[in-house]
Amino acid sequence: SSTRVYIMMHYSVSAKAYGKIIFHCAKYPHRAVNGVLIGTISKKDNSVQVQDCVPLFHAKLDLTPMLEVALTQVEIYAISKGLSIVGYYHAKPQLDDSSLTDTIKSIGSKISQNSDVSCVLMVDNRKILTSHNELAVKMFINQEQTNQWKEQRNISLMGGDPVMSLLIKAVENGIFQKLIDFDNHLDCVDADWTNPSINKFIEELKEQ
Amino acid sequence: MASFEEVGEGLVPKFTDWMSARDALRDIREEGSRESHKVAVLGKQLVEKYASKLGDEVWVVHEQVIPSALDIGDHHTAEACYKALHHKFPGSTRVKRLEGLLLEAKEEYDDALALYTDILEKEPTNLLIAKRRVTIQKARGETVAAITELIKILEIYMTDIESWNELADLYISEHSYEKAAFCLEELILANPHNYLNHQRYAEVLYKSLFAILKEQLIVLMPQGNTSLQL
Repeated sequence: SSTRVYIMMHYSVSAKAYGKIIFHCAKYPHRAVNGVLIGTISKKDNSVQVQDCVPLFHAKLDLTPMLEVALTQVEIYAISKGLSIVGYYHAKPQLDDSSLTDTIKSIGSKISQNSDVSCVLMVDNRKILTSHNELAVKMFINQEQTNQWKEQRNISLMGGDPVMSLLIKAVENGIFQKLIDFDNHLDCVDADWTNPSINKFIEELKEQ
Repeated sequence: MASFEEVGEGLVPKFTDWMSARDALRDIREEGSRESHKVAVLGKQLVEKYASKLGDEVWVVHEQVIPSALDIGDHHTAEACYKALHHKFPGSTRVKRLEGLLLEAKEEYDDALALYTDILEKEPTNLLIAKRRVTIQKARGETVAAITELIKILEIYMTDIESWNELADLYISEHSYEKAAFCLEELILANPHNYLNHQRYAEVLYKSLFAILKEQLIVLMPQGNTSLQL
């Protein structure tokens, strides 16, 4: 087939998605954490809306059995909400390390095979809670022809700075401790990794 | 809608009275759990305002507060506690280790390493200090060096559970599943009732079996199958 010109898509991240990434990092500051991004793709506008995220693990990130279980369940959940899996986020425990490992790249590639788009958001640990107008994530996109992951800056937070300040305030009030990830669910199946109460809380924040 | 404070009720540790604070810190010391925010908030009030009520326990509390305060970024309280301990126990190695923690928190890793090397020259069998070296290597992302150091520690302290746990995690991050499995076997032998070790062991075996299966399938199906990428 002929080569395609690579067109940069714009990614916008909802308060719900970004907030839960930050909460996940705040809840387990000494561990690596990861999760899946779900949302919608608008080919017409050449954009991706990361509407939500599901926090997955804070332990055993490199092992696959539970990851496979989680991805299957998240996919079913996403479809039920009219969304699809559009990416993956990962925070490393080392303060200054936001580089991609082989495991991260293979998870990202796996997601991009089942979806039209996929991005990897690596958390920039130095920027969490310290920056009020910059997202504390670096976005990497898999360029299909070269199969290389390159950093792209074409990402923004829906709602902008005001949302950021509110999320920081939520962390300061300890609300991140209520976040449930897939690991918590595996320890106690009653724990709901769709986080309905946190989702509701963040939605109400935006209306203020 | 509810205010931040209402939603966050009970989630941010609050000091109420010195006795419940003291008891909470005792429980955490016994369990060995990592509740840094709670220890830092409660402990700070205890050492600053109720030191006289604690008796001899006051020094153990000072020691407990330091890593917790560092964990939540309260360097000021950590330094104050260290100064008090250093004043009371000037020659102590136990207190020197806390000085090392302060240096590590400031990311002055070379100074911390020099301090630890110094201690190890005088006390070559100091396990806690030897482990701090591994922690620094981990913080710097020097996984291979950390593994080498841990193996040296385990050659001497073969029953140290914490080291076997740490080594298993490091091997997994380096995709050395057979070596990780060995570590997990040691952990299972040490604590056969701990289901978490069995679980990790199973997942590591799954991953290493999967790798073998993948190789065999690639031989049989040379065009490759993208679903095998994980």
